[in-house]
Amino acid sequence: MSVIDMEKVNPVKKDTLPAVKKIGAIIGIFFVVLIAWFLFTFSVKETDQAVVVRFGEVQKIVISEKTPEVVEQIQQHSRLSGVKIVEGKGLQFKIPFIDTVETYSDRLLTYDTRPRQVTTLDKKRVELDNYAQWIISNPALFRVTMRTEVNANTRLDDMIYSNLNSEIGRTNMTQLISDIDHVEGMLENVITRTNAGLQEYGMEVVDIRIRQTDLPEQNLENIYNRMRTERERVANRYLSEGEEEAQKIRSNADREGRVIEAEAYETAEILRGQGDAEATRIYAEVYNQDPEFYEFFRALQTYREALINDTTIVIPSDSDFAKYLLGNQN
Amino acid sequence: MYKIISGLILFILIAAVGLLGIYIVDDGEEAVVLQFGKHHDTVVESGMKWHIPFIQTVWKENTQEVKRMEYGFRTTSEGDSRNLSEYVEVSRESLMITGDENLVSLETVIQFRIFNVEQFFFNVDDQYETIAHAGAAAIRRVVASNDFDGVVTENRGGVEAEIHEHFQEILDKYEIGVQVTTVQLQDVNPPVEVQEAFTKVVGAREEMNALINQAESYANQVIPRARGNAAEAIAQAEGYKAARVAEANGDTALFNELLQSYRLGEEVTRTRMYYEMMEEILPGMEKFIVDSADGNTLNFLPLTGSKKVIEE
Repeated sequence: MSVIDMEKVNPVKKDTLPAVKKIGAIIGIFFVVLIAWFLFTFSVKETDQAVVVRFGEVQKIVISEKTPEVVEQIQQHSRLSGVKIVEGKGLQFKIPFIDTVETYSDRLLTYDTRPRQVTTLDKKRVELDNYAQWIISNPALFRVTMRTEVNANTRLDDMIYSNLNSEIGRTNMTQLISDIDHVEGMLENVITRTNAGLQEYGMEVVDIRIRQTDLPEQNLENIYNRMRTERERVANRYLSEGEEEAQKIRSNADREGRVIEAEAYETAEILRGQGDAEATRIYAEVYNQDPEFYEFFRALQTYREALINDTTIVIPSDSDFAKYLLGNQN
Repeated sequence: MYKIISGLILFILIAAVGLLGIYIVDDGEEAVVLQFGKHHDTVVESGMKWHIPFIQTVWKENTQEVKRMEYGFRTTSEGDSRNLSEYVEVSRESLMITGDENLVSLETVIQFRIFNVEQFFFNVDDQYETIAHAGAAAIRRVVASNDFDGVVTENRGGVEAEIHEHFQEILDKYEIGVQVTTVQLQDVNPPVEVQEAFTKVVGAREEMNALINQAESYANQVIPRARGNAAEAIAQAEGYKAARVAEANGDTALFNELLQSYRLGEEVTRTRMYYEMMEEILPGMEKFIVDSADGNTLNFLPLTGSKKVIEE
């Protein structure tokens, strides 16, 4: 039984053993290929650029674009003349253990400073806060001279600060604060000069911007005081303008009122005159029909009015009035 | 047996690779696919996508969502239907200097959108920080080139437009693939330290208006009153005129009538009128008749019943 069993088992083992081996071999080969892959290749991301270093010496660089400047810089540099420039990111090859790959950013980097005090041409202290955008334009040079972004920042700080400072030393504070074109030109100068100095480090400043210009604390108090007095001036102006306007309105009204009344007086007097004239005309017209009778008529009227009660009259006996009374007609 | 196992392994591998390669691009998202780090493809349509795991990597970013940058303040809690949003001012950011060297406290909201994922991912390191730096620089530069009054009142729209333009200019220079959609100045105030003075100005302006209003109401009293007086004076004069004419007509009417009758018989009428007058006036008088021939007053004859004795 056992013999038969063994014989039955054996063929099975004979059959399975090579299969396991085969699978093992496949897995083995897979891992070997995988390890070899990692040893012999490296990827350069779109956002990075790479430097391949062999025994401490730069062997090749992987950059996005092989510009004439980079080629020239490499050729002119005594220690880099043999460096191979590879254009385009992606899969690259290397010799394991001998080549080491260092990656540097291929994007715009921000260099930010702490605000610091600078002195303008008119000897005013201004607190300036600026930032810069820069790129690693040549990773080979950068690797040789800077190695790290920390070193690069220190370098940037030195150069931008000194260039900016000397430019600001030639600028008045008012210009620095509000003359945009001037500031723009000033920053252009700083960029140009900084870049001239940075070229040998494989770095390039793309943009420098003043984020904030502040005045020191004691100047702020001065500004506040000036703003207050200015506002007071405006407030007083409003008040006096109000008074002025009010007075104008009042006197205009008075004038207008007086004119209206005077004109009315004029009209009224004319009317009165017309009335008098008309009346006189009527009197004259009527009385002129018989002036002698008018005199008589008017005399009678006057007697009536004047010789009323308590008057004493002496009548001569030979008067017309008394002639019938005393019977002494002629 | 071998075939089954190897087939199984192969299947598991394929399934694993297949499952690991699945990724989803949401609505509004765009993705870049990198192959060995190199830019391979840009996916702009949303949906379920597949990439080769380990060899390709996918970076996604929302290009429709409007992102927001606050300068000068921070929203500390978003409001909802029950609670109001809460803000806190960041005075280090908000206090800025204007072109005429005044200070203003400015709170700004900038909204932007990523319009080019390739540029956004590949060109600039630390994108949001860079955007914040550029935004601050743009805001302050524009405020520094405008007058205080312009920023605070008259030219807010212009300032917003200028910030928008300048900010976009900077971002384009960085090729960051970001588009500024809106720039809004929220609170624009004079600094707290001088606010009292500004309130006073408002008060003064109110007072100015009050003074003018008072004067106008005075004018509104004076002129109608004058017009009333004028109308009265003219009416009186017209009355006077009419009265004078009427009086004259009345006075002369009697004369006219008398004249008519007088002409009928002049002598008779004269005598009649004379005696009528005497009749009217004599009864109330003390009368003496004197002989005019010798002029002696002793011959006075008192015609009335007076007890008065006239003596020389």
